Amino acid sequence: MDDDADFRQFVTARWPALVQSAYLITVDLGIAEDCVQEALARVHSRWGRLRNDNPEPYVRKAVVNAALSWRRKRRIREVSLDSAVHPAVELGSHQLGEIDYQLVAALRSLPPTMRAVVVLRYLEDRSEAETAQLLGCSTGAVKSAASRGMAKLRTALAATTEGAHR
Amino acid sequence: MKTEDEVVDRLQRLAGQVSERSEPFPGVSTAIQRRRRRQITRNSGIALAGVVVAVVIGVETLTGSAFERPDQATVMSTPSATSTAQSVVEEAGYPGETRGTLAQDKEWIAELERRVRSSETELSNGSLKIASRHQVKVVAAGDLADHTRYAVVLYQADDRFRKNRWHRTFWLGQADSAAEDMLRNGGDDRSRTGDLPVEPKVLITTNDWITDPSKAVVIVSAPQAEAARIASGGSDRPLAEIAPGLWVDTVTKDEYRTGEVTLTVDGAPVEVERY
Repeated sequence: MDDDADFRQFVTARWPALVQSAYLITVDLGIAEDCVQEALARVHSRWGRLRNDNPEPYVRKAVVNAALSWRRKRRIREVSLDSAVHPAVELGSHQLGEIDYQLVAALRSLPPTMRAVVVLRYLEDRSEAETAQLLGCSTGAVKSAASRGMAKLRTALAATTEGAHR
Repeated sequence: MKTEDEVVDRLQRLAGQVSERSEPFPGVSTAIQRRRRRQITRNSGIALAGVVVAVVIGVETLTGSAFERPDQATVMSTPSATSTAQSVVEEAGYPGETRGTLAQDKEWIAELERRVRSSETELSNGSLKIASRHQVKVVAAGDLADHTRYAVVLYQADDRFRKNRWHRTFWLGQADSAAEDMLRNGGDDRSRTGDLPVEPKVLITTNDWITDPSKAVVIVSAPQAEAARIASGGSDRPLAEIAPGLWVDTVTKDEYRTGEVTLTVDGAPVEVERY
């Protein structure tokens, strides 16, 4: 298989998981796609060397870095849920389920690094040591951020559910 | 309180929903091409800079004036000290007066000037200082279809390195947004010399925080261009011109995903990379 076909196959296989993580860190699909595209473009330029090793760790780190640094690059301000109108989610030929706006709001209430820790620990099921290595921080910091992040999410979701039931 | 498992389930479900509506291609291919173009431009820039430095040193050495006129280059590359901001704006190719459907809404425009001043200071953590709202110039502002309000804004600010450096920014909001609710989108252009940014800039984006392609818009600022078109798949059409050098339009879903903007500069087509 030539390099381009090999790379294309890798991208197609890994795209959903990479976009999922980037989305949960940035809480914006457009920005998440941009981050993953840029990370994969970087990978492509080194594909000759990376393809023979395992490119996955390099790609993961590039995506997490891009997702955490998009603010510095683009400096787009986040919009609070209070002021945002829920968009009609158009999905082409078929409709998926209703977007979980409560969870989106709860995620947005966390600082980006804490979101990244929650995603890496709970969505990707990475160890504290792996997460620390990906984020360039100590395992103690990961442990603390994971626990506080999850507690904040649970509290925020419980509060919105109670509010909705009143 | 929700259990940890419930939260993780919801995270997985949300992540699954968004990735189902996301495709890697052609976006990844476009990013690769963009990266290649950047590398070519950077390499050409470095080579060109080397040639320029060599020529300048050669000329200065031949004329023996390298140390006699130390400020000459700086003076030539910055706006004339006697020029008013207004004339500098017009000389750069921007319209002298605000354009767009909100141009006559003086109250909203003044509110936006205040909004830009306070927001930019806040975003920069105080490292940018805009002396007053009169340092802010709204080039154009208006509504698009029934979903988006836009503004193209220039302003002068002091930073750590330079006084009165010009910036160019794009602002978006929901239809009928108050000026206070407009958000900057697409970064902040500023030139090293302090001159007005005139490099062509193309932003294709949406005004909401979950990408909804049915509400996408394009903003093209290219003061030195004569026309702008957008092409995607088999379609190719001109963009709506708001003022000389400024095009703002809605875009289709295909154009949002893969549209390429081509400008006409001095009669020749020039493809511009999307922000």
